Amino acid sequence: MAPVSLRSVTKAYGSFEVIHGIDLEIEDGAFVVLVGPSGCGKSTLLRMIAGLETISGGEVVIDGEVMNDVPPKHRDIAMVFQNYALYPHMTVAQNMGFSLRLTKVPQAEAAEKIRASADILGLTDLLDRYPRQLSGGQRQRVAMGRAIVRNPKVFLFDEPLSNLDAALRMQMRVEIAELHQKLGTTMIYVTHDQVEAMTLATKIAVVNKGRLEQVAPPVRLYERPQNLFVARFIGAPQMNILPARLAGAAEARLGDGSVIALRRSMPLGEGSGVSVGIRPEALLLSEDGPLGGRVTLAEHLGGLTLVHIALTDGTPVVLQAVGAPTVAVGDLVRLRIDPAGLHLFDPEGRRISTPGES
Amino acid sequence: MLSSWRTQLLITRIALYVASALIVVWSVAPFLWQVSTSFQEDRLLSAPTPSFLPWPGTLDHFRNIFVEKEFHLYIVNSAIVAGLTTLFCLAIGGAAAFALARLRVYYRFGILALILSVSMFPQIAIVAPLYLAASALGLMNTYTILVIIYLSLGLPLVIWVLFGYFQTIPREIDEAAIIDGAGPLRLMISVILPMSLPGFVTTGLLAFIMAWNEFMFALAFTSGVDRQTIPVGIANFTNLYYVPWGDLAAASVVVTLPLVLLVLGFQRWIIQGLTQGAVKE
Repeated sequence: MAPVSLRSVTKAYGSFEVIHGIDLEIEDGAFVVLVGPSGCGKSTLLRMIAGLETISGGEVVIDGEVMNDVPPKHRDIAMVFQNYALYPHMTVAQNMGFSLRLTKVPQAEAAEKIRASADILGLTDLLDRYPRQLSGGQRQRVAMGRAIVRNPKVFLFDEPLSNLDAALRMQMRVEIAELHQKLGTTMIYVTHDQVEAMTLATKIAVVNKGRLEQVAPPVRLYERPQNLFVARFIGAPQMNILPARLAGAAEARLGDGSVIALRRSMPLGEGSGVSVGIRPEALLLSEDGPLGGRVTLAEHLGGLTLVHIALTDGTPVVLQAVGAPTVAVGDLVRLRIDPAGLHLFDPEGRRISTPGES
Repeated sequence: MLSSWRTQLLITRIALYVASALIVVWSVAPFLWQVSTSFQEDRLLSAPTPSFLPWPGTLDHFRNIFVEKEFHLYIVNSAIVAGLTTLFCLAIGGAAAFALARLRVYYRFGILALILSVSMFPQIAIVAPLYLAASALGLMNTYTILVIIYLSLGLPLVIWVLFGYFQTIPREIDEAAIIDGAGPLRLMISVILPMSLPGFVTTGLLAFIMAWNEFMFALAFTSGVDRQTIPVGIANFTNLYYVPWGDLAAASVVVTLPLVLLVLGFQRWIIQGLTQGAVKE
C-alpha cells in the first residue's frame, strides 16, 4: 500500500512528445482510473509507472521514493495485462508462484501465499490446470492472482477486461471492485470504457492527447465536466452539445432561433458564441417547452428509451426517458430542459461555472 | 444435373488424391528402390533386367558393411559431429536469436542480413582457404574442425528460424516476466525457451540432418576411419575396379533410418513448428 505521485511527467520518442507534463496525486488505497480515447497516452503513462517505458522528464514517485531509474522488479508493483500474458507452459499455481520463485521465497511459504490468493479469487480447484484449459474469465483471474500473491504496493491494470465478452466483463468488474475493497491496495487502472471508469474509480483522470483534461471523483466528473472534451467523453449516450449565442441577461439563443433560460447571467457579453451541453436525461418531453423537433428514431432499451430528435434546424439530439413514452417516428414534439443537466462552455470549450460551483 | 456439384466435388477429390499419390511416389520411390537393392544379391543387381522386389533376399550387404568395412566407426563419428553441431547450433543460435528478437539491439535487421549473407558463399569457394587455416591451426582430421564449419553453415538458418519464432511470442509475456522480477537470462531460459520448444526441435533437426549428410567438407578435412563421417565412408566403398552397389544401398538405408526415426519421433513438434504463426492464438 502506497501513494503514487506523478510530477510533470513527460514522455518523448526522439523529438516527438506524447505525454506533456502530467501531474497526478494518487492517495494510498485509492482506485484511480485513467480513461481516454485510444492513443491518448494513458497506457504509456501506466507503463511508465510500471517501469516498462523510460521516463523522459519529471518524476514518478511511489511511496515517497523516486522511481525513475529503478527497474520494474524493485518498484514493488504488479501488473495485469489486457491479453492476460500468462505463461502457457506453467500451471496456474506455477504462474502465480513465478515471482515468488524468482525472489527465492521458501517453498512452503510460497505455497501458502498461492493458496491464500487462489482462495480470494476462487481458483483453488484450478491450480493444477494449464492456461489453455481455462476460460477467458478464469485466465484473467489467474493474471490477477499472479499480481496479488506478491502483495505489492500498487496494482496496475492495463485494460484488463477488453478481451472479455459483455456479460463476463460486468462480472469481472464487480470482482475487481470487491478485490479493491478486500485488499485496500492502491490501484491504477487504464481503460477506454467510461462505464468501467465510472463504476470502479474513486477518482477518474481523463487523459486526452497526452494531457490531463480533468481529475475528479466519478459523480463530480459527470455533474461538473470542466471542458467540452470531458463533457462529451463521460456519459452514455453522449451529452448533446448545441452551439448558441447569449441573448439578454440570462438567456441563450440556439441555432433554430429558440431561446432557453439560463440559471444566471453570464460573464460574457451579449452575442457571444457559447456551447450549450444538455445531458440526454435532462431533455424532457413537455408540451409547452421552448424547443421543437421531430422524432427520427426511438430505441427501447426496456427500462429506458432513447428518443432521437431532429430540432427544427436539423440538429440531432438524444433524449433519454424512463419507461416507454408514447412517441412514434415522425411525431412533432416539444422539449424543455432540466436546469440541473444544463452545462455551458465558453468559445474555448471551458466550463462556465454557475453559482455554488467551485 | 441435380447433383452436378456432387460430381464436381468427387472429381476434385479424386484429382487431389491422384496428385498426392504422384508426389509421394516421386519422392519415395528412389528410396524404396534403394531399400530393395540393399536386400538383393550382387548377381541379381548386375542382371540385365533389374528386379524391383528383393527375392530371394539376402542380408550379406549389411554383414559386409559392418564386419568388413567397419561402418559403425563412421556412424560413431557422424553421431558425435552431428550431435555436437546440433547442440552448439541451438545454444548459440538460440541466444543470438533471443538477443536480436527481444533485447535492445541496434541495427538488428542489418545484423540479420549479415548473418544470412554468410550462408550465401558458394561452399566450394571456401574449402581451400579453410583448409589452409585448419592445417595452420593443427585442426586437420579432428571433430573440432568439422563442428566449427558445420556451425557456421547451420547458424544462419537456426538464428533466422528461431528469430521468427520468438517474434510470434507476445511482448506482454516478456513484460509480465520482467515485472515478476526476471532478468534477460531468466526470461530466456524459463519463459521464452519452453514456449519455443517446437521451434528448437525443428531447427535442431535441420541442423542435425545438414551435418549428418554433409560430404564435401568432411572429405576435405578428414583422412581416416577414426574421423571420417558416413558420407565419406560410403564413398570409400567404391574402389578402382568395382562399385559395390548392394553395400552402398545397405549403408544408405542404415544412415537414413535414424533420420526417419528422429522425424517420426518429433513429428508432433515439427508440425507445430512449421505451421506456427499461421493462426492468431
